[in-house]
Amino acid sequence: MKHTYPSLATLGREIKTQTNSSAALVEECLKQVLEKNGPMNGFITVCSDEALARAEEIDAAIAQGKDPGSLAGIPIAIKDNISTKGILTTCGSKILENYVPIFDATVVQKLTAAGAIVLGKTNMDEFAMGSSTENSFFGPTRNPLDPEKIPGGSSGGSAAVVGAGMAPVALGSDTGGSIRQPAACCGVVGIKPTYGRVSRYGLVAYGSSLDQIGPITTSVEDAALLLNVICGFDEMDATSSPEPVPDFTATLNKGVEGLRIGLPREYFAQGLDETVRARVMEAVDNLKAAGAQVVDISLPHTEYAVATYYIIATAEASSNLARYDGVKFGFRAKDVSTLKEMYRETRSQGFGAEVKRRIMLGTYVLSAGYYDAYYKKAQQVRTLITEDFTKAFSQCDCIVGPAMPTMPFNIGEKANDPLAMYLSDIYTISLNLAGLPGISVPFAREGDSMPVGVQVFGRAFDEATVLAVAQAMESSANP
Amino acid sequence: MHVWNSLVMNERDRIMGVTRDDVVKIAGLSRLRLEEGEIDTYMRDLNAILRYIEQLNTLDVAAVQPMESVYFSPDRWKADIPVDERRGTDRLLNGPEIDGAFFVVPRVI
Repeated sequence: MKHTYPSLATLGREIKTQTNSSAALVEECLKQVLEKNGPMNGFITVCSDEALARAEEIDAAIAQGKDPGSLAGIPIAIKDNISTKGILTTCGSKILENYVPIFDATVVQKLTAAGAIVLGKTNMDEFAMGSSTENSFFGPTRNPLDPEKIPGGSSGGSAAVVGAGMAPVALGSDTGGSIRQPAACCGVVGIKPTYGRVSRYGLVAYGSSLDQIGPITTSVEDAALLLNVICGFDEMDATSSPEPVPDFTATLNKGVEGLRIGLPREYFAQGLDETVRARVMEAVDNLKAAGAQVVDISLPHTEYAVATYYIIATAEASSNLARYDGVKFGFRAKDVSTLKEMYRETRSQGFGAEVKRRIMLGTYVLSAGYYDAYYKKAQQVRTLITEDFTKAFSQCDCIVGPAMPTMPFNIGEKANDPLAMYLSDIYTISLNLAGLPGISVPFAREGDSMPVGVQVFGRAFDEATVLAVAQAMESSANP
Repeated sequence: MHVWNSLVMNERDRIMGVTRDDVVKIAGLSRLRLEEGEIDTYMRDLNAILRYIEQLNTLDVAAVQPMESVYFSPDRWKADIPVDERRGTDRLLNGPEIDGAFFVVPRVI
């Protein structure tokens, strides 16, 4: 049975006016977790006692007339690759099964400073490498809408716990679609902000030029409220942007009258499931009916995005994951006699198959004699993919398309075919390569068993337009 | 350097993708040990991915600048002030094996 919460704005108002309490809200979440998390496996760690204690502190502060912040008393689930001081942060990996960070990620500092409460840490594909949350050392997460289906990945735990009502909101991370694709699978909203919008300090690195943290929520408005808190310049992240952060809720409800919506023809070509196509086009028709103008556009290098991504992301991963050597933190193999043997055994026993596959691919494409043929070429194609977007945005204000080529597949269906799994990210990956913002919003017709994820892409730092279009679509959907 | 140079293959090998020996070498560079039965699986998977990646060769990118960063803002200098962000001995808390203020590893010399 699906459990839903009022909007963050309503919850916040109720908690601040003491018609509801943070403790009662946290207790409700924990009740849902107790009932659902066993079979669904969305949380790796649940901070029951700490969350309740913090909720009581916030309730007490409010009773004393203090203002604990814009998210006062709101419980939030955090993907397990985001550092939380004193709380296990495993990245879904055996190699970090015992790792307890000594610092909070900047996003966690910002959320707790705004009064939010860390409810727990969510399951994920190991080191965010996957599209189904089947690659976790802690077992797969199941889709809250259908337990036989994948919840998407790699932020499948975050999407599942929000979809199931175990938490009102969550944070995920998106390197090639890992927020938007699971949001699409689980019938929730997921936004990847512009690269540099949200500090990556404390986000365990996978592909550093692609990774970005973002909210997973049940509404576009909640996503905007969370963005207001987590965005902004951070001295601790060299790629953090000094671009001013607007109030993302201010431009909601402004409608789409006169906006030019680009439909990239490559996103509606062969290989797109007919149900997905139909729902996306219905969403577009609704935007048209609301006054938007639809423009036919082309992103001609879309077909090269997955290949480009799997060179760049794995190259960065092979370097980023070199730090897991058993010396300073995490798992260390036993019964080793030399340093080199310790490194090798620790990594061989600590990493899962997909992580090893990507580390090896990354090592290969960066190796002597292959660098130009693979890595440099991928960087050049990345330029072409980015230029596609620049040209497209001269013709339109935002781009709309599917988030996934198919409906969610069954758990185990693509487990032995890595390439088939990679291709499920075909519509999300380009955006990471170009660093742009994108959201997935659920869209369904009455009687559909699962909604379809419709994506909206925007120009760099134009999350406001993305949110406005997404909200117009959301209000015309039937989930 | 010997290991790195031995990875450089001729054009015929490049088209064929990675061999069993290549997989063992790449695993070694990645500090990974593969079980005998895993080598063929990784060889098959890597070759399938590399064959897919070959499609990039159909593009003429000779005149295209490589994109090295997606960062949209101008580079900036950070103030040159030392900051100890992981204060004191806390950093030892996750050490698999420590001795006083040191991480212990197998004997090197």
